[in-house]
Amino acid sequence: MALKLPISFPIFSPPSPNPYTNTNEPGHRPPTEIRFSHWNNANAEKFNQRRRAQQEIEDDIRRYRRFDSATKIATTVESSSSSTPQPTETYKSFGSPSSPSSPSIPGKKSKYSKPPNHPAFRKLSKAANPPPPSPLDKKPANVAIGEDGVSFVIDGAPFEFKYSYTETPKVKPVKLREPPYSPFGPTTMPRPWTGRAPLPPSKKKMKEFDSFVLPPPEKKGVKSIQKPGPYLPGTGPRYVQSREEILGEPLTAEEVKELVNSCLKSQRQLNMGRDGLTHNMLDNIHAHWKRRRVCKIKCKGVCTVDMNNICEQLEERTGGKVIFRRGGVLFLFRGRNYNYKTRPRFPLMLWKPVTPVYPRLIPRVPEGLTLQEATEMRKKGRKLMPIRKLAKNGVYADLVKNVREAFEECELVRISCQGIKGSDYKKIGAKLKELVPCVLISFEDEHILMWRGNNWKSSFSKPSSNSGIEKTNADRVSITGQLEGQELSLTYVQTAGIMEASQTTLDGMDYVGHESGSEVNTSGSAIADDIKSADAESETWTMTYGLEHILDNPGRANEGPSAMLMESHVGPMSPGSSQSHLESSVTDSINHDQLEIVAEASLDINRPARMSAPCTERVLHLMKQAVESGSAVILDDPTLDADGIYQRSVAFARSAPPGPVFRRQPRKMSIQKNKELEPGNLEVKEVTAVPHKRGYEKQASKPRRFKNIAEHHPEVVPKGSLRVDELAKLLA
Amino acid sequence: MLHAISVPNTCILCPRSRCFGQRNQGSTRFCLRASLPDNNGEFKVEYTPWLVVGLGNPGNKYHGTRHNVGFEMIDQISQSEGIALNTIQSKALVGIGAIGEVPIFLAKPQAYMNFSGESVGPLAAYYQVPLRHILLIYDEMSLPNGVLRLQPKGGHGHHNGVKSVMGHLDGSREFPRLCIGIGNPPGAMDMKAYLLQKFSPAERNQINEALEQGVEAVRTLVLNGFNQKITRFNLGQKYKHHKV
Repeated sequence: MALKLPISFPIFSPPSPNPYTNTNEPGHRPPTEIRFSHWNNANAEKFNQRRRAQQEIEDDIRRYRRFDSATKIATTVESSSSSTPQPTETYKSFGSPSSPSSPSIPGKKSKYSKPPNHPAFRKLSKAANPPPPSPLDKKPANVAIGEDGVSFVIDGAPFEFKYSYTETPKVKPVKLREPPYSPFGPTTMPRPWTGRAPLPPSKKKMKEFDSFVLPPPEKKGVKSIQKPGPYLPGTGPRYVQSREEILGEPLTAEEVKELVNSCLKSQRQLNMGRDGLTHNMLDNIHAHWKRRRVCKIKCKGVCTVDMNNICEQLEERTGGKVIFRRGGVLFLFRGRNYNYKTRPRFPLMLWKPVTPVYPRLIPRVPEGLTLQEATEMRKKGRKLMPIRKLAKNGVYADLVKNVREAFEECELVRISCQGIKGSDYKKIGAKLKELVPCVLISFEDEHILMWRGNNWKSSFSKPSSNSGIEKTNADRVSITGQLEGQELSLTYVQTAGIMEASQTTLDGMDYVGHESGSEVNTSGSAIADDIKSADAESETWTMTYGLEHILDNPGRANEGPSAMLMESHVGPMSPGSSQSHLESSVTDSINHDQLEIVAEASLDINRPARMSAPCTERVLHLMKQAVESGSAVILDDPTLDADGIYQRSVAFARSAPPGPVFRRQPRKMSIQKNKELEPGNLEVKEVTAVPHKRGYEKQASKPRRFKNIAEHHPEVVPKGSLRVDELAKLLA
Repeated sequence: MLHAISVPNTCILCPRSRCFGQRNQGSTRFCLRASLPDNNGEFKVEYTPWLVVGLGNPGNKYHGTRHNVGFEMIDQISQSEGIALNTIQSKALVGIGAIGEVPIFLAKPQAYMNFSGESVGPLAAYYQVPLRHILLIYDEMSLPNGVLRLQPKGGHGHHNGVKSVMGHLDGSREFPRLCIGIGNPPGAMDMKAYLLQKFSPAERNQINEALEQGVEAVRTLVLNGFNQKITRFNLGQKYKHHKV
């Protein structure tokens, strides 16, 4: 409660010890006063009025102060609504003056007290110490804030200076947290500002560092410096100023390889972290380039989301060239004619510039969505599996690509950022928002949830309808007509049961058979006939099965469908008209029990049933041969389970001859052979598919290379031990 | 023995384009490969036969285990394409058939996994299937469960079956593969025990779905080769569990 009474005098006064005290006579002592014999007797202290007076004075002072502050509070609280705040004045408390404890014997020096005129307490100034000189005072007059509010323009500088060249958001800041100041050190001082007294000037005269004039290699105390270069044969170091000249000719592949190899294992590297390419890093790069041709930069964390931008900015600001990039590692080459002496000099940033305030990354209702949709998405996102987990200082170079791919599948994408700092993953989110164009939905639970936005377009072109082809083909099965070179999809017909399939094919075949002019017989064999004789192109796979069942139906007493097929076939395949061949087989022996024929039959039926592509006949042939030679066997029991199959295959493998060895083809030989074999014989009368075992060895490649060269450059005499590249150099 | 040779048939064969056998030399020795533009005129279908091999261990004991997903995929393909696996040749169970106009062999090597190469190599050599038309189907631990990936070439990924096949294919790696993801073994589980374990019910469902999708993919591959559709398929598989 505020005291309203103006208290000007203490309410209560200390009781005066002596009613007879006459203040006009300080020396007067009342007669009844106790007198002590010693001067400054310690015991007399409490009776010493002067002492008491000082105490009293101090008490009074304290009391005054207490009541004054109370009064002030009371009065300001009243008028606080009307009074304007004074933001600019920062109140600095001066502290209460602490007087040293006074010695019990005044004037006596003791370790607990200091003499009253001690210099420390001499001038107890009420004013605070003057504030340290703010940088604002020393701001050089020619630093201006650039357009986007975060960059600094200095006259004569080649580009605007920023704190970070890669991590500055493209969005304009809303405001600055403090009044702006120049982050560059004071330019009025002749020496760099280190905050300490100047060092005594060194007597040693430092020679100016010229990269082209190297110290002699024997000189002691000199750190290793790499020679300038690399130089193409016939050129040397040049003193040039422009950027392109410094870079020189583009590096050849060999030079690049050499430089990269020399740098891969080096320990010296610059690290780039969450602030990306900072202004001071430019100076560090030049410091590296003083002694080595290539600067190795390792990027980790937030900045790696956009490696392309980093490379661009590096090349632009430093004038070097990125010769190697892998993941987060960059190699920056300084240029052939780089000289440390003529490098561009920028003022260093001694402190971080003012922190700008950016607009919120995720508004409650992101653009393009209503509140309901947004909450829906956030809810769905909580259950979504993240596409990737980001490590704390990892390399996120392919994150953008992955997010784009993931957007093809689902409109929401979630990335797990457990373990990463909040500010970091928000920066990642902001970058993704710009690079993958997407809309950020939420950052909850250390995950980033993104939506692909309304204007998202798939990067794949509209898929061509391969399935469409198949569908149309399937239609044609039932449609009669000239089936010239039509592929028919078996799949659609396949899905029906085999019996049904056989029915449809039968129908189809009936039609086709009709067309092709064969007689339609009711007997199983005849039907098989028709089917065989029918147009080869229109046959689907199901036909084979249909065949089996057809053959079964007439009730042949045979072991199984394969046996049926076996019977239906005999004799060599006539080329081109496998149909006739099969017909003959059908009408021929009915009761053959040779397994080989079974194989042939099944295959023959399959082949023409399938398609009339010539190579299938060949395959068929091969299979037939395999069975003939005993390397293959057809299983008659379709219900054989895995174990049974295994047993049989093991047993069979013992008796079968060893198969051919797979060899990769020597190219030259086969090209020539192909030319010879170039067939005009699609209408081949005899398929002379001589079983050819591919067993020829891989040709040695070296002699062939020599042959090539000899062909093309007959004037060059190939020397015995001359390697190919040396030859090439001779020819070049 | 009436041979009703349908003469029109042979004539129909004529207008087909000649064989351009330059690209892949070895197999075209006797292979009359015709490249026929499809109905759309967009894709060229190659008629060189494909050898589709699924890796796995033979016998009932290993039926349905993780390492045998290759076999399961082959079974699925044979079911949907109607190709009977009824021949034993070169230590493998082989079935011969076609997708569209392209002949394919389906093979399930009956040698144990780390000797699979001994059956695949001779088989490929005998049928003169070029290296780029040998499709190997096997399980891949580096992919999550039920995720497929079609690659034109690759390494063995410490898969003994693939290693053996590569060894018997003259040490080459440039054959396409269909990798079926089975996920990493949980915790510190022994890798071999994990591979010879059967699938859990949830995983089983995922795998069944994956098999169906895989059959589609194989069809596309055989008919059209490696094109954008395959890339699209791979991407779709990669993110198929990240849908909401």
